[in-house]
Amino acid sequence: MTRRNLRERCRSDRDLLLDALVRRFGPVSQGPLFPAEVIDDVLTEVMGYELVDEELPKGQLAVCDFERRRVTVTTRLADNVHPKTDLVALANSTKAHELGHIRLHTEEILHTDRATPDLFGEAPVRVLVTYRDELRKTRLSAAERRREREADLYASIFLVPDRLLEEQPAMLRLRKAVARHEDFSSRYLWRLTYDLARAFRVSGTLMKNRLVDLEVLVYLDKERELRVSRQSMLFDLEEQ
Amino acid sequence: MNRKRLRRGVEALWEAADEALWGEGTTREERARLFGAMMREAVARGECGSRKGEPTLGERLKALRLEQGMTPSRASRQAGLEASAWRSWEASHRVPSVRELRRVAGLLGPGTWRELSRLRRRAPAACLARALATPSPFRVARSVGDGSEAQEAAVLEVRNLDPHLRQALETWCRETRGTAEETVLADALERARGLDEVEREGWIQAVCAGIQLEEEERT
Repeated sequence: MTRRNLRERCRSDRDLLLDALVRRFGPVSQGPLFPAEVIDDVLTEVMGYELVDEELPKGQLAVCDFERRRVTVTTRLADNVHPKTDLVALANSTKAHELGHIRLHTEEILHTDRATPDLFGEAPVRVLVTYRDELRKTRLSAAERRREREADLYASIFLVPDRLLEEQPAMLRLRKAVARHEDFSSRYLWRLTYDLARAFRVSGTLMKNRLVDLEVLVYLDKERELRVSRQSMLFDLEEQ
Repeated sequence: MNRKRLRRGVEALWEAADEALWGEGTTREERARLFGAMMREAVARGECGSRKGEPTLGERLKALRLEQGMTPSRASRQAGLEASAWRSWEASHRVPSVRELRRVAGLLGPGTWRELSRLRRRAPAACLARALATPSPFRVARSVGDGSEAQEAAVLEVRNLDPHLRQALETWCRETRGTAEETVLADALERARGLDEVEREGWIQAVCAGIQLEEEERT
């Protein structure tokens, strides 16, 4: 599946799930619906998964058990991140990532990928563990890395709908400034990214990924710096 | 004989047995004696004391909430409780305190208190059954990596148990193995996973027999 197709699938899937929740339980928000507000309910009420908080080994953010339909999020989020990190936002992002695995990879995990017993002769355990640890991520196989990338994309599209993003004051500020050909420091762009992340109750990394995916920003991995992708401002975000 | 009346009679008997076993006035010794007799009966019948078909507290809580058309977030908000706590009760992961259950019953209807309170007494056993139904931390660790996290994950599984349940498991391990170290508790859970269904049910009942939720109710 191309990235463009995947994006489209994620968008329509988000609308489908939110619609199912509203149809079943009525309106869930007075104003515009920020999906982070209902990510827990989508997982439990629409997907039929259990959602529990438990202490997990250090470095693990969450475990998704496909067979028993259970998502476990660690209670030790604070151990894994900077002290100033918004833990609720990080939890929302982690849950949306797990939702991504559920919506995109259930078939793959349950029926194909691990169909043979493991080295110990036991039946395979159909779980996915999400790690914070970057080192751990580099040890993943190509298929696991692909799944993680797809779940990340799903999470960012689920939690940050394009139209809602467009209406944010920080986004409007950025658009106006780009139209005037102003220059931005990476520091300013990071601040703007975190302003948007706060508005959507998501992690800064997820918001950065979303803005990069929308080609609003460019991320220079080595320097950890952000730059504006100027041509992107000419397009309607929803059309991409 | 009218089937409906017969069923009502059986239900009334269960109610009476339940009250005698878990009621507030029952001492620990009486409970142990009654429980032992009930277990022997059940084992002789090949049922091992379980009340098959009856919903757990979590299942009933969920059904009652859905009857009212509420999400766990909305229900917990209206009852003045934590949404994560509500979800953990529905998932048979934690046992609510009496104070919390009163709030829940206040929201779901005063008529639900008696039933929920009765189901709460068996909730620790449901929590333990649920814990044993999840894949062993050793298997998960081996499946997702090199197994180096297995011991840590097994100990954490013990720490994640409902406090009532952990206490009961500690008591059981102290009585049967002479120690209640976390690694011993983790080993007991691992071994219980290897039991067949009937043996496991018996083990769950034996561990949970020592749990006294009633103390909390009096306060």
